[in-house]
Amino acid sequence: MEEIIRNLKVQIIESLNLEDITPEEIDTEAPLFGDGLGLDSIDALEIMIILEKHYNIRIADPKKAKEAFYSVKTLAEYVVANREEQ
Amino acid sequence: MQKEIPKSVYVSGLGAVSAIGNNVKECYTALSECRHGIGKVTLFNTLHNSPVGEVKLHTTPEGISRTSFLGLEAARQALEDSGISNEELLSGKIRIGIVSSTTVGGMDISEKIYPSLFGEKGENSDNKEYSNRELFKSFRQHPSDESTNYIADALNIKNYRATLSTACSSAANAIIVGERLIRHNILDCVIVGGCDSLSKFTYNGFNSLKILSENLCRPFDDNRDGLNLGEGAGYIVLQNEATLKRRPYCIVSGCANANDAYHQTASSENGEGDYLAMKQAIEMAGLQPENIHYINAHGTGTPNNDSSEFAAMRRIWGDKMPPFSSTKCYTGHTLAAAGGIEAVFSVLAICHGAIYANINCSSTENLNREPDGKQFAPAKNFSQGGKIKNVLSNSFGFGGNASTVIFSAIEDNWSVPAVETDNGAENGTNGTNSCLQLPNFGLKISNIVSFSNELDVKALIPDANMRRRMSTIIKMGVAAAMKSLQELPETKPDAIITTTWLGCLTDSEKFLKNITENGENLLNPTPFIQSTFNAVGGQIALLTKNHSYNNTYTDRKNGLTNAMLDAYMLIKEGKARSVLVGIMNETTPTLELIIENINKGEATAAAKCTLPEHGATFFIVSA
Repeated sequence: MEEIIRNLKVQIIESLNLEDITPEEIDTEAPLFGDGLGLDSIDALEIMIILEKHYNIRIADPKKAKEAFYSVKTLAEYVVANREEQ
Repeated sequence: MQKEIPKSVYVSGLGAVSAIGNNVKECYTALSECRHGIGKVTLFNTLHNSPVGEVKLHTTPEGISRTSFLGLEAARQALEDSGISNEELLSGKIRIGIVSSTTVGGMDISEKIYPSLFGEKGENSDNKEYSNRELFKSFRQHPSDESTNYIADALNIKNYRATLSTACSSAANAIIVGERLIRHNILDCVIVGGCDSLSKFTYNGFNSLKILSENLCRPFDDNRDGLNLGEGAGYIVLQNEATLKRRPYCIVSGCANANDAYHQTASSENGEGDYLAMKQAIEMAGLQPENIHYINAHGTGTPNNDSSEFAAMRRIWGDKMPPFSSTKCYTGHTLAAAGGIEAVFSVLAICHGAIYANINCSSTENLNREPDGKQFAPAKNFSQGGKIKNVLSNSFGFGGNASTVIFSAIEDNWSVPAVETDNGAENGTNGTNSCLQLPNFGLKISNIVSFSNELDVKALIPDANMRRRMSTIIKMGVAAAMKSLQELPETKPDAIITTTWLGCLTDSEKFLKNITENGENLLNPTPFIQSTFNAVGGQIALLTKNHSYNNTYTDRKNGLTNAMLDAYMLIKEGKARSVLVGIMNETTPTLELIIENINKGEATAAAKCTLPEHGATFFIVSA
């Protein structure tokens, strides 16, 4: 779990081109959207690509996975629960 | 002799090609039979299943971009319809111009040959063997102003040419600019509209945003799940009274452009930009909302657009909603062409007293019931022969760009007035089709800022979430603009006008490269949304919460002159006191490679291509 959380943070920083933020500075439990990191709908699409590219998880309907996109922690839990063995 | 300022701007010619017809008559027949033109993609290979609206003209002439080809088809129809003869055009007696628009330009060609540039044969490439000469020459079709020049050269339009690109509102903005050029007596006649061909680039771009429907699109339906892309071209001819050759269809009575200043791609919940555009257009027309007899909505079929647009409509009309529908369920969303094709449909609605059916829409129980539980529905059936005097047409685009045009019927007993059309000599054109005599702008230019590394980008663009997405050209442009605005006595300019020849090349190449290398899956949407030509203008509006007029010119030669003329007219008619104007271009290694090789193949200096100057300069224009 810890490893997935760390990897997700690195992938999010890289994919969204977050400036001046280290993985340690991202609060694992803070909201990703709105407050917290302040991400938006385009970033949600980019995170979906991270999930598919790195974890082989395909989200057909983003609305159904809304809870998973709350924080890095919920995202990691979603990955653990849905990850296909590769 | 001083000519009078034209009172009305007449619509004297119509031209359209779309998925439902290769000319205006065919399009109207399809509309009246509620027959859509959406089907499988045949123009290129794709893995996706979203249907599209292809124009049923499948052979594009060799070496010409499909955008230019479709554009000329429609523009020629419009000009012929106006009754202005080629002899008249050549005589130079009529000051005629074109304001065209496109979002993809020659991308249909560029995306096929891009892999060959690196000696590759991606699945995207057309697998043809290109000689170096052919290959690089083909890139000459890429710039968006190329389609304008192609149309204008073919139709002998030499007095004025402008190209706009403000995403999906482009053609409506062309109408807005053209209307002003007539009203300010700068031109007698202007062909306005837009053209866009389908391309793998835009198809995948919209797919990466997850807003393409795999079904037929259902604008305003509760279960709408996205848009269908389309292609085509739509142009109308605008004229002053003195040069009319026929009884005009109607007049452009009102038009306005406003900015939502909410998000780069999403529309605000209450549709602020849409509301302002409609409100200002209705005011300009001197009408009351209840005088609008039909609304041709933008209605793309995405959940976000339709709810935002309808919320704005509710703010204008309350419970007294006029009949409304979207015609994108017939043509697909034709991007830059949409405002032109729908202008043609709106004019036809007046001529035939028609209201078009919003097909595929079955359930509208949830259509904006707030705040009072009232229910509304778009027009279910086609009807004609009604009293349709004023039609309002909406076109909204990325970058918060929102435009509304209102067409109004002319009196039944209207007849062509007997006026001598000898204005050529009076206006300095001297019967020659040389460059148009532009007004002496006589404007004050201040706060000139060119981008340099000394500018503190972080301080000028404080929003880190905007900054992190910006490519070089966007950063240069927005930073220079913000610096220029810092010294403005008022906090906000009344208009933002930008110009760029090739736009955000880094982002468009990034998206194209991604398709070439990785195929059509897992494409990042960010470079696609940042590749629009109005990305800089839109982001300045977003950053400064500026809802005012926002336009983007994409002409290589006259972009800045066109932008200045626009600013001049806005200031002259009291719509603006200060206008933020800016020019920016970026060079990239690929562009340098292409231009170098184009020039190797060209013998004469005139045929050679110059690299645009890398940088951004913004300034404030005021009276």
